[in-house]
Amino acid sequence: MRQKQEIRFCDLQQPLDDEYEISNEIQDRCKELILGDDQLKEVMKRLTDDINKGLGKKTHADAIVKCFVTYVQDLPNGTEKGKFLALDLGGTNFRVLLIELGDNHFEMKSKIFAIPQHIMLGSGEQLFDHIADCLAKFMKEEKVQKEKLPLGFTFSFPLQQLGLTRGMLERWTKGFNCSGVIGQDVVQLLKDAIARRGDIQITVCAILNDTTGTLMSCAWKNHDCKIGLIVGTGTNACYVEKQKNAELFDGQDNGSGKVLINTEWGAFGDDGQLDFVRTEYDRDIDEHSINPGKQLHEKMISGMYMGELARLVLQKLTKEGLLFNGKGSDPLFTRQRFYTKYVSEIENEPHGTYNNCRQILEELGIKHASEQDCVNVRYVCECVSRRAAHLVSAGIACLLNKMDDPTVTVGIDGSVYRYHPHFHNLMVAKISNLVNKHIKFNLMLSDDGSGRGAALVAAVASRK
Amino acid sequence: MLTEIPSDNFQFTRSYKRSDPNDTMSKLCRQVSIESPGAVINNCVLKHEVPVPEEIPSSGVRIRIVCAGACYKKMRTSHDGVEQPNATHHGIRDGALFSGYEVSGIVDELGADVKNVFKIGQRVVLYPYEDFPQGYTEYIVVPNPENLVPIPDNLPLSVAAMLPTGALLAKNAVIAAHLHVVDLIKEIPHNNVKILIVGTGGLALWAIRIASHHFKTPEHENKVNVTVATLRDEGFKLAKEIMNVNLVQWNEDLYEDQLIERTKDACSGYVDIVIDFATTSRSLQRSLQCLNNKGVVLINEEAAEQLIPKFKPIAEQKQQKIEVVAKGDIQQLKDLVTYVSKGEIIPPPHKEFPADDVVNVVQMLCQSEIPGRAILRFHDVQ
Repeated sequence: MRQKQEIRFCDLQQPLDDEYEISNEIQDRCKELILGDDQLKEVMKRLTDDINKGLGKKTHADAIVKCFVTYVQDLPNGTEKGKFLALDLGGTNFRVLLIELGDNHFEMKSKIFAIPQHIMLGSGEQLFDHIADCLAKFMKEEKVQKEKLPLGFTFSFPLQQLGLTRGMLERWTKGFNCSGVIGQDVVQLLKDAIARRGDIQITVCAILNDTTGTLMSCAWKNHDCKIGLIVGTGTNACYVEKQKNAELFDGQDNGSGKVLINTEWGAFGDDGQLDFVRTEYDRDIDEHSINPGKQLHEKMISGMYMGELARLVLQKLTKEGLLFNGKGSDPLFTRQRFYTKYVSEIENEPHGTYNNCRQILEELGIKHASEQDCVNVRYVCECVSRRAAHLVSAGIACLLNKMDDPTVTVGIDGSVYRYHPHFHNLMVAKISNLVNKHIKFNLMLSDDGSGRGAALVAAVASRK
Repeated sequence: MLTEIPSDNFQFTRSYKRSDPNDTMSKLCRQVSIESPGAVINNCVLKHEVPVPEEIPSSGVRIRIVCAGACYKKMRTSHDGVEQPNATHHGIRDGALFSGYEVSGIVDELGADVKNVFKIGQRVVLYPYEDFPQGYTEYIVVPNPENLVPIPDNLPLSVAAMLPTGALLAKNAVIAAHLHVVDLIKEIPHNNVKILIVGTGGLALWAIRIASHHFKTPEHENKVNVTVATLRDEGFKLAKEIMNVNLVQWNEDLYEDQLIERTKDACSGYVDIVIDFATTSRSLQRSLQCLNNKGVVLINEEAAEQLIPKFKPIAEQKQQKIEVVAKGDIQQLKDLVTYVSKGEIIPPPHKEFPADDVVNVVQMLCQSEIPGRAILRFHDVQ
């Protein structure tokens, strides 16, 4: 596990050791963004109910949290060998990877490809042709274009998985909206695109999402790893469930009696279960999103929305005259113009220092911010990011309590967890509050992300 | 006397006759000024009617502007000193809108001493000399005719208008990079030199084309790898039109570490030279993090005064240099006229707009919504 630097973070109830204090009016306006433990425990109860509905054969069809069966039964045990390809689509980058495994030996080559907006919003055929093109380029560069290699495909969108190598797209998230893909088997679409080329051959051994890949990647190093979590562009989690509880699992038991469940918890709250903690800012974000009414839990947490959440709060406070003397700027009042990285950068300096904050405000056309304004801007960012960390912590505590394993490692990836300076410590503290006392847990940053996990799934599938 | 008139009442003098000795009134013509865009875009464009300049020095030339590249005036000095270029607008960060002065036109009247040097009606492009006019005025008097460059018949005035600031600055950046390339090829004879050009606005598009032309010579061929950091998806299409240019996408909504990882992946490691025309704190910081030890970032004069004191200590830790690209000289402008008219350097795409439409043009440029360059057209003269 990569050593995370211990960083002090402020309990929101304690005064900051600043020359300036957060304005009372600002604190008052931000109160609705702060979730107490009682509220979080209620969130956990409702999420547990929804997970059980998703697992149940009779209740699955109506369930909001789908708890899709992944058909992955086995975790890596270190005996995997050979060359494996992986595709990783759905986060910030599209990546192709080539991984070679031996006895505790691991070698990886990868390449990042961009997916332009017009392909993200074009036809499915264009998208999969683009993916096949990137794969072919990479295989030629790595001189494996004549080999038929096993491939794992990390596809980080809600899938109804019908087998290890069959997944129907349920819906698009994270800014993608290609036509002709929803309801289709994306493995078949990929195979078709590769066949249209005719110059490369692969064997698709598995399709998985980024949470499964993250779990597999961490499990290769740490065999206690039984939960995979993504907090990045989107958010989702998977965990090891008993096959007998996964009532929709119709595969043959390979011996472990376990199967990974992809919760798709981003959709939690789409039926109103989160309305008791959602705010006007959450409703605004949802109304103007590409998928209104859906992924409401995700929209309170993930990096795609965090910056905009903060901007909406800052915009409102400015228009009420509580920030910047009531005088904003066009960019501050422009949607999507306050990036999630700004939240991390503003929180990533010692209290009392506002160099990053000032630079960011200048980028937003605000050169007249006072020191008090900077204190308040930072506080808004802290409220937004803490709420996200606490909601994710409630979700993880929910899974830990459900699994009831005495020792569990959670493998985590995603830009928010990776780059926000305080997210890890916020989560450790809050999960400790919420989890049953006899359970020990560990949070492990996935070093590689979901690319290596996809290759490992293919490797484990090839192990038979 | 300048008179500001609301747009909907704006009256233009549509034609101008040569001076009538008996006419005691000055004729009026249009003047369009684009100032550095502030927080609110609409405030930065001014339109006036001004008198046609009547007095022409004996060695001067009056020209009638036909096309002007959309550039803004240099930053005004505030009471605190020179302000940093405004990082707010995407188009400025992309190099789509930049400070400068670009006009092409036709000779309208000649001073007594230069009647044998130019002809009335001759097509020229103006080198932006010191104390050049502020704002684009339909008729301007050029005191020193050496600042006028005749252009060949096959070079459109709209293309010529792109040369005096955009192409010239880009060429000077490539020449500055060239000096480092020569040194690096000696130092690392078996490795290629890696150049990163930031943005796909007008400046960067010129730099890409001029670099491709410049590094085609036998001693440089296959020795220089150029990567372009595109700030918008449309940049893909523009940059990809040139063969052998590598692309990396700098989405502003990504974390800095992700962008740096992505850039190093695309460039197969750190780069040796960065050309960043629209330098802001953020882009310079990012460029330095993508840069080799002992590498060099070439930045605009406009940004340098503010940024160099701030970043020089950081750069020096890795023996990196931050160099200012000066504007080019008139010989370079003449060279560009030759290369472009011969088709050796293909200009970036451009789109013409009526000069009256300048407010909308600046709006679109601030959002990088115009592929390539925007050209304001004052008269329908080819």
